[in-house]
Amino acid sequence: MDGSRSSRGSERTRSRALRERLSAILVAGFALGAGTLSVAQIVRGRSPVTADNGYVQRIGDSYDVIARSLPPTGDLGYFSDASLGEMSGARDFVLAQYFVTPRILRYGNDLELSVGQFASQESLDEFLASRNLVVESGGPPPLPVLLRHAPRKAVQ
Amino acid sequence: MSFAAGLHLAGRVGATIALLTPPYATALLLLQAARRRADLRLSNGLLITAALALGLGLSAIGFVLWLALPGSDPLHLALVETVALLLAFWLRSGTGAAGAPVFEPMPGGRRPWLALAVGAVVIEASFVFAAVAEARPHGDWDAWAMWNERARFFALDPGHWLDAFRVDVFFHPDYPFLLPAAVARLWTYGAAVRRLEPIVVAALFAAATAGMLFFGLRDRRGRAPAMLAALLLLGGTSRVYGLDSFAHLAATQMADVPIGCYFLASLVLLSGAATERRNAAHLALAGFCLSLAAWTKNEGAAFATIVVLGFALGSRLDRSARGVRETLWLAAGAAPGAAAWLVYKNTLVPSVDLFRGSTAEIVARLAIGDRHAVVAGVLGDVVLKYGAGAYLVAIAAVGLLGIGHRPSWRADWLPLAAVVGLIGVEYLILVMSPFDPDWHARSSIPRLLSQLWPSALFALFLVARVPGGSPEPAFADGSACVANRPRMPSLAVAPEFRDDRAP
Repeated sequence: MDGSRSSRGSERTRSRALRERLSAILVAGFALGAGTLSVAQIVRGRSPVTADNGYVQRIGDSYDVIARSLPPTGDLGYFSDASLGEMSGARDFVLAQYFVTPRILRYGNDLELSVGQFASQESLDEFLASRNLVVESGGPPPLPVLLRHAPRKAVQ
Repeated sequence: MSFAAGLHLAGRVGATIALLTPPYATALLLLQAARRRADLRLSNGLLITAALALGLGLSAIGFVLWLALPGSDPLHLALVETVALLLAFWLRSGTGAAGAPVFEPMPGGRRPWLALAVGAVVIEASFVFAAVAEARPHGDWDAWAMWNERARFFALDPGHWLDAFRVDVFFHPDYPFLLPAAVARLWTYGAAVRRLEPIVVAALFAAATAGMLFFGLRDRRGRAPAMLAALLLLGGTSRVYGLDSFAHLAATQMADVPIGCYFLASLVLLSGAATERRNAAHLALAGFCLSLAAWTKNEGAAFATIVVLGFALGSRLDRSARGVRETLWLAAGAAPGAAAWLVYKNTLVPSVDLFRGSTAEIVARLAIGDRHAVVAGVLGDVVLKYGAGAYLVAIAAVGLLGIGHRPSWRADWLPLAAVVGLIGVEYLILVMSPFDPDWHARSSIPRLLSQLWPSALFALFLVARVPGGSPEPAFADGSACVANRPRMPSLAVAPEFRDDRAP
C-alpha cells in the first residue's frame, strides 16, 4: 500500500519535473527565437518596425525653415489638399502641429498666417489663387509652405 | 558610428540621466524611509527599480508644480526639487537603522542556462530599442500627436503651458500629461528641445518595468518564474505593427510602456502588501502608483477603480479583519492624484466623446449582438497574433507548470483579476462607443494588451506552481508569502520554503 503510494508520488514528481522543463524550454525557445528573428530582420533591413524613409525628418527640416518667419506664439491656419480622414492628411496635420508648437494650428481657418501642405505645385497654385494667398517660405510641395495673405492692390 | 561619436553620445546620455538624479534620489530615500519606518518590505532590487518608476513620476509632478507657479525660471524648479530631496533625506535619516526589517531573498538554484537566455534577450531587446530609436528619433504617431507635442508646449513656452490644451481635439487635449511633463522637465533643464531626452525617458520606463517584473516575481516566487517572465517580456517579435514588441513599443516614445510600468508597480506592491501585517506603506504606495497610471493615460483611471474595488472585494473573500482599513490606505494613496485628475478632467479640458449620446442610445448599442461579435472577434484575433503568439505561450507555460496552491485572493489572484477586469471594461466601452466597433477595437485592443503585458506576466506566474518546488507554505496566519518575510529563525532556513530548488 505504502509502496504503491510512494511510487505514485515519485511518478507525479517526475511528471511535474518534465512539465517544468518543457515549460522553461517553450518559453526560452520562443523568446530567443522571436527575439533573434527581430534582430535579423533589422540587420537585413527588412524589419517593418524600423522602416523609415526619413519623411518625418524631411518635414521637420522644412518646418525649421518656416519657423524663422513665424511669431513665437499664436494661432496659425492650416490647409491641405488631403483630408483628415486620409492617413497622409492626418499624419501631415499631426506633424505640422508637432513641429510648429508652441503655436496652435487651426485646421481650415484662414488666419493671417497659415501653414499649407499640398501634394503638388498645381494643387498649391490652384489653392493660392482661390484664397488670394502667397507663399512666404518653405516648400516646394509636397513639403509644407508658410502662407500669407497677398497685399491688396491699391485702388487707382 | 565612430568611436568619438559613440563617446559623445554616451556623454550626452549620461548627462541626461544625471538630470534625473534628484527625483530618483528623492524616490529612493522615501522608499528607504518607508522601509525603515513603516516596514515596507522590498528587496534592494525591487527598491531600486520601483524608485526609478516613482522618480520619473515625481519628476513630472515637480515639473507641473513649477509650471503652475508664477514665473518660468528653471532655478525655481531646481528649488522645488531640492526641497523635496531634503525632505526625503530628513525622513530617511530621522528614522535610524534600529528595527529596520531585513529582506530575506529566497534561496535556491540559479539555473545558469535560463540566466544565459535572459542575458541574450536583454541584449536583443536593447538592440531593437536602439535600432527603432535611431530609425525614428521623434518616436511614432502618438509621440508626435500628443506626448512630445505637449512636452514641447511645456518646455518652449512654460508661461503659456495651458495652451497645450487649446489644440484641436484631433490631438486629444483631454489626455493626462505625466509623460510629457517628465520629458519637458529634461528639455527645460537642458534649455533645448532635443531628440535624446524622450528616448532616455522611454528607456528608463522600460528598464523600470523589466526590473520590477523580475524582482517582483523573484521576491514572491523565486528566481525561475522571474526569469521566465523576463524572457517573455523582453524576447519577442511583432505581428501588430510594432505595438506587440515590448522593446519596439518602448522606443516609440508612446505612453503605453509607462502606463504599463505603473500598472505593474501597483500590482507588485499590492500583492506584497497583502502578505504583510503592517502594510499601510505598501498600500499607500500602491495607491500612489495607481494615480500615476491615471495621470499617464486614461486607461489608468479605469484600472485604478478596478483595483481598489477588487481589493475591497478580495478583503471580504479573504475574510480579512482589517479589510476596510487596508482599502482606505490604498484609496488614501491614490486620493491626491485622483482629486487632481478629476479637477483636470472637469475644468481644464473638453470632455471625451466616448460616451456621446443619451443613456438610452448607449444601452441600445450594448444590446446589439453584432457589435459584441465584432469586438470579441478582434479581441480574439489580437490575442492570437500578439507578439507572434506571446500571450498563448505565456498561458501554455503556466498551464504546463500548473496552478499552485494560492489561498489569498488579494496576494495571489488580484493581479490576474485586475488584468482580466480591465480587458472586460475595455470590451464594454468598445461595444458602447459611438464609433465603428471594428475600427475602434483594432486601434484600441493592441494598445491595451501591450499596456497589460508586463502585469499579465506577473499575474500569470504569480498563480503558477513554482518550478522545482513544493506548494508554497503558509504562515501561521494563513498568508502564502514565501519571500518578503522578516528574518525569523524558524522560517528563514526551512527547506520547505525553498521554492526554487533543482528538481
